[in-house]
Amino acid sequence: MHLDSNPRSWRVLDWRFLLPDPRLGRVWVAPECQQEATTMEALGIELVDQLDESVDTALVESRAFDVRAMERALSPGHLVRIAITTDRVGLSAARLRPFASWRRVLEERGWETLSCAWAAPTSAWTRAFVDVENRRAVSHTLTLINDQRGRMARLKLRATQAIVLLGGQELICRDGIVLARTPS
Amino acid sequence: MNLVEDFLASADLSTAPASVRHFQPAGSIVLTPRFRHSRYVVTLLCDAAGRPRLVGKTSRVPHDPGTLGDEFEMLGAVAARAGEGFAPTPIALARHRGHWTLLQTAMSGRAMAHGGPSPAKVWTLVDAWLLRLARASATVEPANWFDQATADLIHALSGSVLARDGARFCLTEQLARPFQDICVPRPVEHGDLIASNVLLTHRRAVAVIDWELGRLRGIPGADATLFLASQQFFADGADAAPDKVASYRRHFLGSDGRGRMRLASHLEAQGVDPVWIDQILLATWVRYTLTAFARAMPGLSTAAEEALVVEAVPPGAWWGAALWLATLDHLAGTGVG
Repeated sequence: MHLDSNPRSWRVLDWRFLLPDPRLGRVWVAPECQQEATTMEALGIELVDQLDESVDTALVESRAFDVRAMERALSPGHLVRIAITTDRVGLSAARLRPFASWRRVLEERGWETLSCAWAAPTSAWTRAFVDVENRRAVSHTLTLINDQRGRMARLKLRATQAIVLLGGQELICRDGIVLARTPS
Repeated sequence: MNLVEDFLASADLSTAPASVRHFQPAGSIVLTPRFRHSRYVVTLLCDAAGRPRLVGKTSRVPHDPGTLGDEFEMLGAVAARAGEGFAPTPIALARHRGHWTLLQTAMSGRAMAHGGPSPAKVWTLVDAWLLRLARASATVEPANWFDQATADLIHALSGSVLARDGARFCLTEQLARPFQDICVPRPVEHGDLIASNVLLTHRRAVAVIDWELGRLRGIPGADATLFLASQQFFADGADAAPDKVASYRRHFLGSDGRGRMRLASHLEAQGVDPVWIDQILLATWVRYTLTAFARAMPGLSTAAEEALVVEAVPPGAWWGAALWLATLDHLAGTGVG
């Protein structure tokens, strides 16, 4: 049994179930994700201080992510988890379509994108990770989020679903996770 | 590809229902519950229309099977007795890449908690569903059934962890004890039949999800009690425990309460004399509370850790406990609650 077997503590790592294999190996955590590092330490996950070739998985945040530094430090094919958080103001492409922008930046540099998942706040008690590009899945998640009480709530749901089905899901799906591997 | 899609690719689906035997997911939704004691992450595998077809339930903690084995066995028994499509059909259970995963068919529809038909109509549908489940699964056991269902749990927990509530547990057992001498049908019980776990399909049939707390032999009327109470709380906008208790007293403890009358009719249809309704309410809520305690501390090993949990999560923190105490108060007339 691990140091901390409380399922609530493991929740911080639920994004790993977006991968075919959730084992993370040796993990480096960027300073801005330090809260996660504290929890992971209690869970007995092997953390390393230095970002170098010995790292299997690196956890970073989009606002402080330096692609070139990551490429220099990590071996080819290593996993990077980028937590996407966007400002609500501004009309730049990166702000309007954060996942598409990150995918383009990474793939232009030869990275393999494994997952672009919207972290949807489905209810006070549940959160969902949904493939941003899967319009049907995003639309279904919107049904889970919306409590549909009252006519206005139902109208709002229909309007939002229409935007999604027309391809505008990134206007709604703002925060989430990008999982990618460094260029081979 | 995520973990559950990877598991599906390696699973043997030869005995799965024909509708999913050759299913290839077109997308997934990974649900990560935030409840205090949620041990599983749920992955919905969707078809091209975005409709969930399969569900993968994965244990968060590596190598921890949790209660997935019990759920697999119970859903298998329900499918065998009530037929496919009545509840999720279990397909595979295995440890995959370090995590136990249960694969089952998905039930899809609109959550009853999200509006739709009137509460009376919804109850008619759920009542019929529960009676069908009872008819398909109930066994009559005159001996020791109450001990197995409730009293043993009281003894196991009240002696140590919940010692300071010992008097309440003794009184509960004493008041519910006459109930043990009667023969009652013991149906499969869902165990957490709150409104948000009940879906209405596009064919206006009931579909029930989240069988984690299910039991092969439950207390008759327990599922109906939980559903009717949660439905009433939703209708009354009762979110906090005191509001729930007020609503419960009005609708279940008063002789002309709507919930009480519906429960009485339901028990009668199951072949249980409604004269036992108070004992059923008491047994339902005390067991709901104790089950929550048992889930809260699966790994506790020392008295110090147990004491810590008692301090951190007193029984009154749960609305189930508040309803148990309200029922005890009503039955005993002692003001214990």
